[in-house]
Amino acid sequence: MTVLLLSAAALVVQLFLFLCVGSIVMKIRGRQAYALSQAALTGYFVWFGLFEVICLICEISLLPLRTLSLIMAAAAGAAILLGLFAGYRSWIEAMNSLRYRLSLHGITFVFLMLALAASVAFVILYSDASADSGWYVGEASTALATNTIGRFDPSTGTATFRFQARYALNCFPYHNAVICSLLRGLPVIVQARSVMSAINMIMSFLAVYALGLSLFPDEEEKRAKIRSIRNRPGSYSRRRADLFVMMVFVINLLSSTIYMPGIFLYMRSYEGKALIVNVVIPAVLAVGVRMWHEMEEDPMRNLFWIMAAAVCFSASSIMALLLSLMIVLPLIAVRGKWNRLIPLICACSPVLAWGIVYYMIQHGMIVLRTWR
Amino acid sequence: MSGITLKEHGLTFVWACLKEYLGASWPFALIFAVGIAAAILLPHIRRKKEAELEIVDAKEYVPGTYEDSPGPDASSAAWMFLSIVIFCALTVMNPFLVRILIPRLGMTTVYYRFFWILPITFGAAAWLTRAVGSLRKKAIQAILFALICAGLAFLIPLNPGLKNLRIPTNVYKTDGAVPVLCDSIHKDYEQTAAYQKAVDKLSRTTDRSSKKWLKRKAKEYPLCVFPYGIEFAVRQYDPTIRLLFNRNLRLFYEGNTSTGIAYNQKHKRYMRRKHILDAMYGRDPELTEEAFKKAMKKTKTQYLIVEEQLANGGFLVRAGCTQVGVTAGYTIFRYDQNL
Repeated sequence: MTVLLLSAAALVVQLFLFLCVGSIVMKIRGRQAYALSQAALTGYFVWFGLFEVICLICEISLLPLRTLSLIMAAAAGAAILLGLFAGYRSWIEAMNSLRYRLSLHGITFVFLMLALAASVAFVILYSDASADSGWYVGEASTALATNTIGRFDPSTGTATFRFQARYALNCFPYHNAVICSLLRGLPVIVQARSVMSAINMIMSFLAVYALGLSLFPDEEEKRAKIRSIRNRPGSYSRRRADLFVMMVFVINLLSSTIYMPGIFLYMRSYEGKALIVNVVIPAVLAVGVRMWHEMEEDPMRNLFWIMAAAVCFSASSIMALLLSLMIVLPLIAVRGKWNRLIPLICACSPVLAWGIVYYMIQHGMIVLRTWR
Repeated sequence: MSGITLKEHGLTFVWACLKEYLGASWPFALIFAVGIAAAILLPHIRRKKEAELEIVDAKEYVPGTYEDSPGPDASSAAWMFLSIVIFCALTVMNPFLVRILIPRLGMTTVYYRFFWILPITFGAAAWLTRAVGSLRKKAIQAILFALICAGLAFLIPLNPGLKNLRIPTNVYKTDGAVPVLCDSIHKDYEQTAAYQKAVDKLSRTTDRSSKKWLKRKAKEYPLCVFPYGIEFAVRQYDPTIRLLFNRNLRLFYEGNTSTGIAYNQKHKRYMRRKHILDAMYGRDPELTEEAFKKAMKKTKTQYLIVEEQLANGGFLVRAGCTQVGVTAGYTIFRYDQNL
């Protein structure tokens, strides 16, 4: 019972933390009216981007996990306080307009919520004893048990004397160890495979929904010869985005091979690479579509945080980098917007920096030892 | 990707990987491609028809209906998808480039990840949404959506994860035997001299950042071999158990070559471990007690856990193992390294 209560607390606290971080970002960007789901998704990327930096510093400095946990606890506390201060007016506004905003959705929204609930329930119930789960969950449980960060082989428990570039530079698994270190009594296996899986599923739906909003902007309806006079501003986009999420849900249910995104979403949602394909890639596509539609206000800033979080999630963040380049470079070339080149490089800098360090470690130019 | 190598497929490697990646889900790729073509071509066809002037009654005029709209349409997303496909074809999916690039990056076994860049899922979903949304009546939209879902479900098999769902019996979502076995091993190990010695040594090492501390910390935990079915769940539940086999070694022993790593008789590290598992299950009749003992000593293995009905108990006991107990359908053997 205690574990179940702690799991519920971990779920609520982490989602609230992401909302608070997102609200701070919105405040900094000068936005007053925004959807709470959008703020939570932004906060999720920003939080994991920051976590990557802090955790990597602690890992290389051989600091104990407990120290990292205390730093993150202080950061989370500050983020929640600042988020409350920065976002409470917008939250109240969002809650007051909830009925109106719900009325902008169609009946599909009900099915979407059911699909989300079913997906979350599925990942909470689904058990997986694969070699990969042994590695990624083992990484967090080993960190917690030994009070170290990345200094023991997660699959065997033996000491390692050099950090492996492929795993040590992507700190997502240690986030689970930090949460369990702060919420004492919550087993890592529960946090990683149930709580975090549920959060990741929610974030995946939010990222796909954001992509849907980008693919079907309200402005598109103006082109249609026949419009429904019942449609209010925002209604077209939301209804199409709801339908789009349902379509993605159906396609994911019918992912027939072990390589497709749907498999990673439902069977391996605790893994960083599942987040790359199901959260990061739709988020990058959403930014890209808005850039192609010339609707994005600050595409590079969003892209930067998505990239930073991608580095935290997995070494497969290289896919997010390639996708960003494939989306933005043709746009720059065709429309002659060469001034976007430097912001693009800056936005991709987290993955580029990771790539350089990875290359240097792999080729022996840098040796990262787990001891002094 | 499993079974697909550059050596064997050469220039057809990418195509072979794409077929393996999509499997029976190929209709999504078809929808994605057709959608791109339609979204790019249809506006051009329609524009020709719209070129003729229309006479509109002022009363029927709706602002924004007849003006040139600067807003986005489906074709800009289609162009974006197309640019991704072309870029992929020229770079990471270029058969000539892949032959050089992929082995250097060490990504032959995980090449499928490059297909994630192709937004097949999201592209197909976007075009299906557009198809359903293009209908005026909600009821007809609902019917088309249901027909699409039924059609796809008829053509494409279900996500294997959904078929494999088993309601867990505990909050850890592991085999119920794992917690019981881990507890039994700890209970027994903590009474041994090896444990007392390890704890004593660790307490004398104060510098936590030293190499010595790392080694001694690891030795505080018992080194075990578990059955394949529960091996990967053990350290997720209890990281204070050490395992003799790492991921790649164990997968290879069980016949899984998806890691792309192969071991043979020259790999002493693998062979010693193989001897231990062969002895546990009686898989190698030619294996001698001496070879087994040597492997146990070299690897410093302390506990062997075997399914009760599969255990090669007689051999293990003769070779110096002590049966600690039978728990949750598994037999636990301890090997005293001082023998």
